[in-house]
Amino acid sequence: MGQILFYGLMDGAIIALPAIAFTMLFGILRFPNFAVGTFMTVGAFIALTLNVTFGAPIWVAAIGAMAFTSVAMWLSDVIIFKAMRESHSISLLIVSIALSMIVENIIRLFYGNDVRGFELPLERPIKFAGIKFTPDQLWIIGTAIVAMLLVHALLKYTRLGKAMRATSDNFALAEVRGINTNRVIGATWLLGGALIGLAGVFAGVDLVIEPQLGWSLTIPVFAAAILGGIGSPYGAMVGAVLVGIAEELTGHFFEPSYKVGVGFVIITLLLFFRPHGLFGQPEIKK
Amino acid sequence: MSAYLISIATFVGFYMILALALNLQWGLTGMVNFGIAGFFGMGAYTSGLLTVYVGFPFLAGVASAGLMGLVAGAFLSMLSVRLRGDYLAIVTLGFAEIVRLFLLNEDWLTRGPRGLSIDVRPMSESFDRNEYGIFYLGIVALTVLIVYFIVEKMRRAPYGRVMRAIREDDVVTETLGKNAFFYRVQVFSIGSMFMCIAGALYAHYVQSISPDHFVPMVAIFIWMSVIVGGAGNNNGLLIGAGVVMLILEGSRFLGDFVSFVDAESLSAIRIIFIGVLLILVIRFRPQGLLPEPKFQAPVGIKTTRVN
Amino acid sequence: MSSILRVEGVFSGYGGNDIIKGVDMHVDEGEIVTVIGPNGAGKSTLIKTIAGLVKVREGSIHLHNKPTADLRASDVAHLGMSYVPQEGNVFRKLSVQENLDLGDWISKPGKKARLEKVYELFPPLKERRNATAGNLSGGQRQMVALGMALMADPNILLLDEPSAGLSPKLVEEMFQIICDVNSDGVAIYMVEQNAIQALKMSHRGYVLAGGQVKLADTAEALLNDTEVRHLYLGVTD
Repeated sequence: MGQILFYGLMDGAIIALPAIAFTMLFGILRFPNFAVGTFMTVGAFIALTLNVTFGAPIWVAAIGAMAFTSVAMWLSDVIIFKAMRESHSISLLIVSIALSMIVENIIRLFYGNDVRGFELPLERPIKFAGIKFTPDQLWIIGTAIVAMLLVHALLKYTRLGKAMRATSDNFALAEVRGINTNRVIGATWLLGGALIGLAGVFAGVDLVIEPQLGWSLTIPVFAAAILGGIGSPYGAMVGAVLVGIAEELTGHFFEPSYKVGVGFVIITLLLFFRPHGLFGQPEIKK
Repeated sequence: MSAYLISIATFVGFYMILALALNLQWGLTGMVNFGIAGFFGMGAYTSGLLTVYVGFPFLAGVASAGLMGLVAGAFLSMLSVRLRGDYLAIVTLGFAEIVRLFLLNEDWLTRGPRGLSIDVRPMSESFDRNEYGIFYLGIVALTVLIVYFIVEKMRRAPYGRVMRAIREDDVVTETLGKNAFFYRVQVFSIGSMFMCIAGALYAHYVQSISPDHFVPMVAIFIWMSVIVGGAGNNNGLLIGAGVVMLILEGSRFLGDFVSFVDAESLSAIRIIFIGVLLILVIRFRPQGLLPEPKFQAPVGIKTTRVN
Repeated sequence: MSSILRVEGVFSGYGGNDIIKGVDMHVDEGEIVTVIGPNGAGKSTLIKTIAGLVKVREGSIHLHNKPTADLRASDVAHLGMSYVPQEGNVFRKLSVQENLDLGDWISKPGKKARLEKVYELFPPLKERRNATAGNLSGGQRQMVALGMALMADPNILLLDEPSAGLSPKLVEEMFQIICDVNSDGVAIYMVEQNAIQALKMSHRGYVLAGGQVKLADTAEALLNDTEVRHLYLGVTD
């Protein structure tokens, strides 16, 4: 059981960061960005290039991946989404799916369809308190926790973070109070991109790197964000761990290949019984 | 007519049925469905399995697929159709993924990734290969016509006014005494039934199906048909389905001229091209080639400011 | 006396339609100006246009003689205008304290004194400073909204229905507070359903109908105008 919980935590650590990014972008821009998963793939491949082709250590590769993904996502806003702020959420959703098709296939053009992996020193699993794990996995969980603490500090204590929370809460009011929401949106894309890039590296370490990598994580990421209540980064963190554990339990008691489906079941049941997430409050209908 | 053109036309037919069904759900009633591939695959396997294992004749297989679509559509919509559009998108997409996972993993039933061969075809002895293609195209075309008339009929009838009212604002519809939930479930189920029927026709046409025929990309092609054609307009989306197929197939020929890219890259380029085109259409011509006649554009495309 | 706010020949609206069709009006220093009019007259659209949330199609708006018609709402706020919307006027997921802090986004000096002042005006807020704004009662939310606007140290306040949804006793209090704020030298532009009460405390008033100014006069004159009393104040003599 401890082992299952550990693996669940591990899955949660991978989907938590993109779930935070997804929920913050959704909170401010009011549409679910389906390209989130694909940008994880981007992060994984950039890190792969730095790590395998240029021989950089994995942490340097991870920083490079964060920077690249961050700018790439921000550019996707500048080029595509910015001009469509007034569009309906379904239009933007379809655009984001189209974008993810484009990005995924650009990756295919450069890297082909092969399955790859990072060059990491082979490490012997450690056994502690009956739980088996590798140092890599510990690193992933640890780094994810640090990243989440940093996000927390940003949101709670910095001017930018307060502006982000305010803009996500009430866009028009934030603008009226003097907050330049355009800049907040830009900053959210950059931050979200960095988190997603990092998570892409996590996924690349834990799984294998191939063009579909992020797509298979999209539904669990959405599930975590919806579970936590859209627009709530803290909810997304908790949601990610719950989804991770639910996935591992399913894998253990049923069929591992249905793990991906768990996210869907969670989303459906949750939306059916608690449409505003586990912790979310209902919005007042105007 | 060459066999190639006939086969293209048949595929356009499948797309048209799917697009008509999506138009019923989304264009006319405002319900988002990204699970098209799920219903399409479900229909294909339902008819395929029943004809192969149980020995159903073709028509019974197709009818069972339709019934399956009706039931699955009712089930999924009862669970989720009250949701906001963007959530409904996620749930329906997830549904399609579950269907695909099921087809992939339950190989005792579906033969998993190896795929399922289906030899049942209507009147296969009466024609030679070429003639048979034309005959089957006829079956598909007939189905397109039937579905078209049903959807048009629904659109023009008083029922259509209820659908549009639901699309624009279901609070109002509710207070008018129409049970919006009931109507939504009905429309969604009927649309899903058409999708499953399209799947069944597809299965008996290609005669060999596997889970990777039913990936989310299918949904994108159909959405594109509806958006390019003009959501809410049944004539427009027939054109839209043709246009999408033209792009898909046309870009295939590109390979004959540009020899320096391999097949793998070419398929990637095609999808990139389609993605770019889809974004451009939504950005610059959101109403599509043929906008919806006299009524307002559907919710999904109308531009409204958040807050 | 110079005008803080000047609106000249303004047209604005949503989508393809103009809702505001050529409005001229002004607010002078230290004034309370009330806009009344029937539902759908465009009162809310006009106030949003002035605040910079609805695009000006034609005409000009000047705040302290600076043109603002092409500015974003956030830039207008930096010029000393504080707008309180009728709905959605607090950050629901943030605490009372955080809301008030955000009111001071522009960060003028003297924040501490202003915060004291706001808590003095609205004692219940001090008690509930750590509560989430969305959990407050309607009256308390209205206090947070106004308090947040005051934290910006504005020289003109735009109030959209400040008394909406309040109990009669609270309406009285709210109007008293608005008068107090005004006597500190803040000009007030407000839209009100409680037209008679609002006009009684105002210097001047405008009657807006069909997106145009139908009447402009001192508040007293409007209160005594038979036609206004019949059509817009609902008084039957």
